[in-house]
Amino acid sequence: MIESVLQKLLAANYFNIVVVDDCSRDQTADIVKKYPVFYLRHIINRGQGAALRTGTDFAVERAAEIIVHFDADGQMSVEDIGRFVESLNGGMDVVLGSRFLANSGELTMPWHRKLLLSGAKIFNYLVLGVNYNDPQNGFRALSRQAAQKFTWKNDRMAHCSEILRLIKINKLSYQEIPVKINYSQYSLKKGQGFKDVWKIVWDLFINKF
Amino acid sequence: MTLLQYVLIVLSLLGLLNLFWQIRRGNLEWLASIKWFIAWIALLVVAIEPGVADWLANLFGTGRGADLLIYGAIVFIFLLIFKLILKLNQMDRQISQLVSYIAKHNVYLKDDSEKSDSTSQNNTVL
Repeated sequence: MIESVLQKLLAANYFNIVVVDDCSRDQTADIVKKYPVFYLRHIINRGQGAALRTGTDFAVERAAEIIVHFDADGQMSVEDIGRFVESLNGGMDVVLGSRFLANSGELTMPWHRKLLLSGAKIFNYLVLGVNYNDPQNGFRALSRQAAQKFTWKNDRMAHCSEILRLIKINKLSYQEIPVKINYSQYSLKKGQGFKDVWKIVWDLFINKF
Repeated sequence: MTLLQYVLIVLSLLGLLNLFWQIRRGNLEWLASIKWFIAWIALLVVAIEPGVADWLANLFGTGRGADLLIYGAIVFIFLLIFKLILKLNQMDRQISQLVSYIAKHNVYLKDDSEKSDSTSQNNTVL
């Protein structure tokens, strides 16, 4: 999957690509090393939140002005990146992708995923005090200032909710924009399920200390 | 006195002896020394006069000295587990920091003359 994602990104003239390999056991390393991208490898698996932190820190160290989080499983659309950048250039600190705004790919989402996300939304509102359209969307863009202002503690899936809370705590400006997400068998298998809910809630709790 | 009482008395005296030995060798901080001292003395007192435990139990309203001990132990174990979880979580974070550091200092970049410089605007993190 990652190969076609890289090809699309490079074809769209995005040249400063950072790939964080969170200890993959497949051919990811060989594939990525064929392309002109920064390849960072976690020598042990630390989770999605940790991988995004490594990549974001690296980009900030390399003087990146804009950092876009983009999944390698092919579910995000390269065409959407331009609108994230536009919004950041328009003065926003953080831009978040949403699957539920007009023109997004809502129709392609399976019902059980929708149910799960409604639950996440209610939880985030009641417990974390944040109200976003699509709380578990990994498609986001940070300005350099925003990335320097906060780091998330959660290594695993709870980083999504934590980032939303950090935006609020740090009083950063943000915008939610519609994105199209292509659900494939592959990306659904890799995504979150009901069994992850408790883990996320627990992680959010324990990382408060 | 019952056999159990004799065993407990010997045990607590050995404990106190060991504690003084450790303190003299400077192996314990003063706070830990005090905690251990109180624990061994408490055991000695209860072993010599079991009525003390029942008197304490009545004070707390649990009825029997043995019950109070069990309740206390459960609370203690819960606190201990919580402390352990926090410690583990902290170690987890430290491991992540280490892994991240190693990753950032072993970056692989394919040599490519067409590559633009890193200060340009579009940066994408996968």
